[in-house]
Amino acid sequence: MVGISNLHAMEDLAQTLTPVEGRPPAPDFIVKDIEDNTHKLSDYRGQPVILNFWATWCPPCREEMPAMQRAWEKLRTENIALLAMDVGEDEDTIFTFTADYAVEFPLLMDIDSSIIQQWPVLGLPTTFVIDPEGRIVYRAVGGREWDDPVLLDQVRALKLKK
Amino acid sequence: MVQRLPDQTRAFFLARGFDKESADILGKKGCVFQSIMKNTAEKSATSLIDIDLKLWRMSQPNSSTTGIRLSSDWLKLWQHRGLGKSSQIAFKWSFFPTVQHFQGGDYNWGMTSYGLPPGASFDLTVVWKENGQPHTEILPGIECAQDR
Repeated sequence: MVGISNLHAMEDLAQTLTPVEGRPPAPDFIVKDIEDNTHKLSDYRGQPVILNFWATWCPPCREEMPAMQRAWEKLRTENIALLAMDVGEDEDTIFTFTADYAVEFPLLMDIDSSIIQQWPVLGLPTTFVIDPEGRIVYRAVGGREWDDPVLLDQVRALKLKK
Repeated sequence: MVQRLPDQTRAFFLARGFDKESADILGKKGCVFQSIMKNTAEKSATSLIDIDLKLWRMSQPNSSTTGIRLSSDWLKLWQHRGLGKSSQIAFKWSFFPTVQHFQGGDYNWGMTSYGLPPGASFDLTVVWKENGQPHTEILPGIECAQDR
C-alpha cells in the first residue's frame, strides 16, 4: 500500500473516476486566468466541465499536464470544458511554468486559496467532473492519463442529449 | 517513502518564499520524506483506503513512542514566524494531507515529517483502513537524511 517513489506516478494505476455520492452542486467561483480572461463556473452550464486543482511545484500535477493537453485537443471541439485551477501562485510563476509545459486550456488562478477551500480537496492534484447541470459527478485524486478513452467516454456520456 | 536531503527541502521552501531561517529549521529539524500512497485496486468502487496520519507512531530506542510531525504543527510555527500567505499555502499543499481517502486508481504525493535531526533513526508504525478494516505495518530503521 505504501508506494515507492518513481518518476512516473501514473504507471500501473487504473484510469478511474470515482462517482461522487449525491452529486452535490459544484461551488461557483469567478476567477481570472493567466491571460486576464474571467471565468465564472456557472457560465459553463450546459456542458460537462473537467476542473483540475494543481500547482507548478507538484510533481504528479506536472506529469499529467501533457495528457490534459492531449485531452483538450480532442475536447475543445466537443463542447466539453477543461479548466486547470492553480492554487496559491501568481501569474508570473504559472507563465514561467508554461515555457516547459505548453498547454492551451485555461489556467485559472486561485491565488489566496479561497476557492479550493470551498471544494472537497485534500491533496493536489484533484480533479472533478461537473455535469451540464452544475453538479459534481466524478472525482479523481492524483493524476490521470486524461486522453484515455476510458476516462473521456465517461465525460462525454454526461453531455446533454439534443 | 524517499528521504529528502535537508538541502533539497531547504531549496524547495526557499523557492516558495520561505525566509532562510525558516527553511533551515525544516532542514535541521524536519526529517522530511517524500511520501507516496496509492490505491492499486482496479475499480474505484470496490476498494477504499483511508489514511489518518494522526494515528501513525514513531519510536526510537530508549525513547517514548510519539506521533509524527503533522503539517498543522508546522503551520502553527510558520504563522508564529510571520511567513507570507503564499508560502503557507504552498507548505500546506506540498505536505501529505493529514487525512486522505483513496478509491481504486487514486494516489497522492506529499511530504511527511518526523521532527528529528539529520541521521537519526526510528521505527514507524503505519496505520490505514481498507474498506473499514484497520491495518498496521511497522517500517523499522528509517533514517533521516544526513545534512551534507
